[in-house]
Amino acid sequence: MRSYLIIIAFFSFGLSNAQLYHGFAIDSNFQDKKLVIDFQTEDYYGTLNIQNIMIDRFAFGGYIDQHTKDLTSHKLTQNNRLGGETYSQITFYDYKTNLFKKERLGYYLGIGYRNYVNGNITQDVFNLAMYGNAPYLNQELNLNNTRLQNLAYWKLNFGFFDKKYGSGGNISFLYGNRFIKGELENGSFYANDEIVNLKGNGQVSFSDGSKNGLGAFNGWGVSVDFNWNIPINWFKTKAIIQLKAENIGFISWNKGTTTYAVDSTYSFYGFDFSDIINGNSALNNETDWMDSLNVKETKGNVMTWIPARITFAKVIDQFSERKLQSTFGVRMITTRDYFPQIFAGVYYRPVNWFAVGATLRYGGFDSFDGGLRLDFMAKDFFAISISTASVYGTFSNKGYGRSINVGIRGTIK
Amino acid sequence: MTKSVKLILLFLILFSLGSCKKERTSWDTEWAVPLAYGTLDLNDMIQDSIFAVNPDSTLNLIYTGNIVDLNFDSIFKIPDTILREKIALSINLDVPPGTSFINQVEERQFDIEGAQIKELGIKSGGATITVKNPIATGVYLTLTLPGVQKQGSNLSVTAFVPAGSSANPATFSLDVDFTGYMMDLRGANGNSWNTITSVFDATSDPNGDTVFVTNQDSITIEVAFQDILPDYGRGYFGNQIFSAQDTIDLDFMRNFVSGSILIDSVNMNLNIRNGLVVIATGVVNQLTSINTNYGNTVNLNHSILGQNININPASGAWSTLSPFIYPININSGNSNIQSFLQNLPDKLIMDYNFQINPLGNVSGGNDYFYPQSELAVELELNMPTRFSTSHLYFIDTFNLEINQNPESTRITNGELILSGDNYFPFDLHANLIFLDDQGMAIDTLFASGSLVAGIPDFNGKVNMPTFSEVSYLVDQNFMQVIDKAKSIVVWADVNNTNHPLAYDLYDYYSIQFKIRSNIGLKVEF
Repeated sequence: MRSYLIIIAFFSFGLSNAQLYHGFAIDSNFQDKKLVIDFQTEDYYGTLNIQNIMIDRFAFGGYIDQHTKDLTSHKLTQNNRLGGETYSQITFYDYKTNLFKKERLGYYLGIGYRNYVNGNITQDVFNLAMYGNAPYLNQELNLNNTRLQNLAYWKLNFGFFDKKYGSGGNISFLYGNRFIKGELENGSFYANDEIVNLKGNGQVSFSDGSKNGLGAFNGWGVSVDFNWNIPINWFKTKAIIQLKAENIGFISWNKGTTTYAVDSTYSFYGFDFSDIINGNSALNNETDWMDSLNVKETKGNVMTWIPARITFAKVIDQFSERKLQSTFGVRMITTRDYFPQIFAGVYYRPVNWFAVGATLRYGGFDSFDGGLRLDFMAKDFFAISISTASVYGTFSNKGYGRSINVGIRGTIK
Repeated sequence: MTKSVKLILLFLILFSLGSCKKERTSWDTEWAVPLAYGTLDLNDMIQDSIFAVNPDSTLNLIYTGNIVDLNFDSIFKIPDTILREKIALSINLDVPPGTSFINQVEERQFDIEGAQIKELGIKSGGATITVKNPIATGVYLTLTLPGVQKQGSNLSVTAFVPAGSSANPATFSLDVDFTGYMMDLRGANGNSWNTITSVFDATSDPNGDTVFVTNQDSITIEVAFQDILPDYGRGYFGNQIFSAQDTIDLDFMRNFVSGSILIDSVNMNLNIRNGLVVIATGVVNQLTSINTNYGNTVNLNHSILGQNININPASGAWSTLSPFIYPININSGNSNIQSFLQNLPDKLIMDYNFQINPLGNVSGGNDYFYPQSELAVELELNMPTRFSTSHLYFIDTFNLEINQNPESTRITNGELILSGDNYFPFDLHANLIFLDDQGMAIDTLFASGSLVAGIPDFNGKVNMPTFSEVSYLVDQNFMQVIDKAKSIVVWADVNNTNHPLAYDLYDYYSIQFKIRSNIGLKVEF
């Protein structure tokens, strides 16, 4: 069996690494290519005002001390968006087959797992959760616009691609694994020595909690990705403009999905002592709690759009003969907590087996940071790429996000 | 291993790498929330008692309960009795189908010791009737009890017993419920007692064959009375003596375990109540106050003790029955009742003798008891709630269920704060003892101080409550055992700082309290 290196763009066809690093495309002749296996991981998070030292504790564990809480709390406002995802995918590309008997069309099959989160935590919510209510007695805490969404699903995709420029598309079957979505549009919390007042207007939905683990099936859905790489003339040379839309689809979470909706004001003075000693206290009765809070519970299917990602950019042409190329563009993820991101950078390839790229960006879940990319290409067999979209954040506790992406690609035939 | 396989393995390993947390995320929070509120008044503290409000709003404690309770079942019992009869022809003859060949009247006596009962009403109980047939044809056997009637009808049972043989008689059993029946126990001629009359009739199977029956072919009938409990009786109940030492639990005093109380005045009645239509006499030999916590006993001193008391029969019948009551008044002037009660008894023991029909059958066999009849001694306590206390210890126990989820939240430290408006002219210092499912103490929360007494005016009346707060420190050790707690004992010291000055208690006296928490909560996930 003959194996050989394919020095192509790692990050075409909707794969995650390219998505984060911003813009690569291919322009080559694939007539003699065979089967390619490609592995990509993308792990990142970003926040507007919460530094890594705090997020790391949630992501990787550890004790959150007073200093860390104080440091974070002082930076918070009422708008503290956050988001991130972990995404891993294995894809098999068939360059050998001519799809629909067209020489330039190949196909690919892939499987991936995406765990996505976004939300907004207000300063008062953060303070209440991290300090408790004791420091805030006799104060009304503002819980407005608090939300959190977490989606996790498997993605089985089948797609086609243009062997020359990398344009293509796929359709994916989505296997819903976990879903949590909570939002408090209006809410407040007040407490003193005698009373706790809760006002709230919002709801929370979550998939069947009895099914856990990566294999849990809690819904299904469909999505499509497409990628259009357009060659253009660019300052007396050739360049590629890319329009990419990924994860355009939905998941219908199954009947085990529970939704709690609340729109009420609840005052709690403590339990009536006579009820406690007579065993009638709501203390032991979940239904009484729900009634007191005027919480409505429903069970049934819930349909959600998955966060889509749309990119329009001048991307790197991996097969350009120029050693230095530029890239720039704009990106959007369709959630309330993602600020449209603009980016620009350069890519330098001094030798065939190595390239380095750097970008600056503004927007996203966080705000401003830089990206860095290192590509190593061993001819005839193997290629690996390591990149980050948050250079400062990845290497500093004072940053507002981290990003690590790894791509490996090789031929198996 | 081929290069391709190695590649796939490498990819799979990388694919499986996730963002696994190496340790749990945790942080400390402080929460201050109200936990409970309520009002404690005398009814909460002294259970199973009734307080009467006097015109001046002071309270009287009223308690009523039976120390001695002799009902009909105590006076005499109907023993489980088996009436067994063998009925047979006097001669040998052929019995054609459908022929009544035996009709026999029998009388049997219940063995009721010392009593001559003419009439009984049955509250509950029954009998099992068993018939054994040795004759070679089926027999319809009818058992009639002419003196056992309900709604004017005699109790009559008919059973078909299949054909049997002398060696192997056929057997049939039937349960009969006697509830609601009235039994005439005067026998067939009406001048006997404890006697039940029965009539047996045996008829050969109309569909059977003619059989030859000898005078040796006896049909055996067994009527086994079981658990007969009467609620009415007439007759002579006999000359019986009942001597005993009966104990009564004073539940309303059980919460007071130690310390001293100074009671201002007491009025107590011992009412001997005779609901039987029978002459009786009685002697109360001794009445003793027992504090089981201290082991202290105080005997009552009163002139009636040891004296023979004539007790008249009740009057009337059935719904008009009116018991005879012999009251014995016991007060501070004719007895040592104050020290008797200041012993904080949770039990009383009464030593007594009662005798019914001390003069014999003077009623001519017309003693009666009715469903509501009893011979009892009733304790009736009526005392002003005017007293003083010196470190009177009061306990009460409540069930408790605390479920921490140590996987997500854990209380690390803190305090419970009890605040209250106290009208009572006594300080209240309450410690909390937590017990496990075996009733063993696993930890105690000590109060930082007392809920301070209300301040009486020059008339000894508290017009405004006193507000105060006490706290209970909660530490790590407590939180480690709290999940095992199944009940909580409130151990309260009720103390009058002006002891022995006694105060009246008024109907509006109470402690309005609130409990809130200041706790440290460690969140982990």
